[in-house]
Amino acid sequence: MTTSDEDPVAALGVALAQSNATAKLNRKRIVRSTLHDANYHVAIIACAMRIHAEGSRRRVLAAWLKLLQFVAARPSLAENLLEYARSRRTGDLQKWALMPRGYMGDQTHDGVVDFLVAAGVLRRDGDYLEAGPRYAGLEQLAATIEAAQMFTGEREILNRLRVIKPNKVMLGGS
Amino acid sequence: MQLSAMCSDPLIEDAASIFGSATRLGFSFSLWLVLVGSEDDFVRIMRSLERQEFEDEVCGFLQRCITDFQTVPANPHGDAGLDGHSHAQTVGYCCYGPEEVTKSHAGKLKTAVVDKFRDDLRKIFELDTQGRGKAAKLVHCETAEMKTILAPGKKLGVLRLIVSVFDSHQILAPLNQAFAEYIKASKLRYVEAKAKMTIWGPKQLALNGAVDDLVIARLEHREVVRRVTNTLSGPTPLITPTSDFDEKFDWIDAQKKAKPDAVQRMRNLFRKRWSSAVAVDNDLANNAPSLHAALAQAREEAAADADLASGTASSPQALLERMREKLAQRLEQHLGARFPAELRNQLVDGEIARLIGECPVDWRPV
Repeated sequence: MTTSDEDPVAALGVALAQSNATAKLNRKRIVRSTLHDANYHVAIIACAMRIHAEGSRRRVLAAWLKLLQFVAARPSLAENLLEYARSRRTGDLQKWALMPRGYMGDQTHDGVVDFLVAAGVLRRDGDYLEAGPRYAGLEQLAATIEAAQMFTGEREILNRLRVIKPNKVMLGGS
Repeated sequence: MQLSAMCSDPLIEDAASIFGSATRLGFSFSLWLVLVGSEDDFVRIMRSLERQEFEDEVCGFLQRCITDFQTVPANPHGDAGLDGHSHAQTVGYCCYGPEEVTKSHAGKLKTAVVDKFRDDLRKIFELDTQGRGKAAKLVHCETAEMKTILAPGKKLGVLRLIVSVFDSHQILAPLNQAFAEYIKASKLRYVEAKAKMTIWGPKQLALNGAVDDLVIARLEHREVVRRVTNTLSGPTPLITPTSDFDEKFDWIDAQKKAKPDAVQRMRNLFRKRWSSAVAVDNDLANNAPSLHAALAQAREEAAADADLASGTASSPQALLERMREKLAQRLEQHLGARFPAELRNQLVDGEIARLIGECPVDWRPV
């Protein structure tokens, strides 16, 4: 049992009671992070595909797409990823820590990609994702975002990451 | 474009339902474990472990790889320098994970590794040094624990010294020299006369065992718990004062019912806890997104619980206690055994401070 002297929550309760205050909880002010919002993920995937997918089939390494959207949504990681990619040529052990490995556990992205594949927007081809029969919707979404100048921060990071030539070893896949 | 707008035909509705399930499952720890195992990750994380943590992980790893690997507990009276043995008590293992301050200095690191393993070897060989400098000589000194660690008649034929950082060959010569001297000087009650010694780092450990997804996931999780613990207990840059946050405490001050210094103490503590909660939130978002999602889910559900309960809460204390109780329940439900209870309690305190700091909880008259 804690006393109000060492427990600020209990101390606050006592102070509020002494002041005849009524504590209220406003649930509307609890905003869920966009990091787990499916619509946001679809939008960032659309932008990432527009900037990074290659060729007429609009192909991209699935793990690279996952890392791209992860870093685009977390600007503080962008410089670390760029530094890690630069240091790989020298095999510098100390720079391993800079790789944003957290992306591997991003289940919201996995769920959104599963949805887009099931909806025929994207298609899996081995380690790659490419345009599915309904890809035009995603492309249109990316074009709308660009025209409306939305997600400028995320798109700027996606553009900066174009200097990286990804491969499976770099992404931790072998 | 809303996701729901794309769900206009049955096929896509099915896909949406799959996505819903996937998202719900996304909060399950087992899916978080689906990481890509690699030796590089293993080496990186093992390098970062110190002392007992490193020893625990090495022993855990060897237990998975070697059927008869036996950890040697340190009680009572120490482990005689031997952290484990295997192969019918013929192979012995000594581990050392230097602390960060030692690792960062190459000279200190070399000395520390050589000193630590010499010390372990002397215990196993039952030796002590007498005299100083050139006059120093090795004398027999019984290690009483050895006879309760190895079965009678059993002797070690191989000794493996495992260190968390093994970048320099400079430790090889002094340790091999010491080993040769100890064999000559020892009564060899627990070590074969023809015993061999090798020194391993995490890379050699990985090459001699199976580094799979589970090993990496366990190490990664240990790292997450350690980072969250450090964030909660270490110095965190304080959040810049906001007018809303300060006005809440100014209001209590203005009522003149509570002592001003007590109100100030509360204000400082809640700001500190709020700052730590935000730091933990950022850290999880960057490094363990599924745990971040679980925390966000717990926060949201606990707020809903507390909101429902607030109708029956008779006083501010009751509401705050209810919030604390609901948060603890939801965190246990979503994070479960992934975080120790003490850490979960700290997270609860941080989340309450965050609810006060970010204004969902208020007490000022409208």
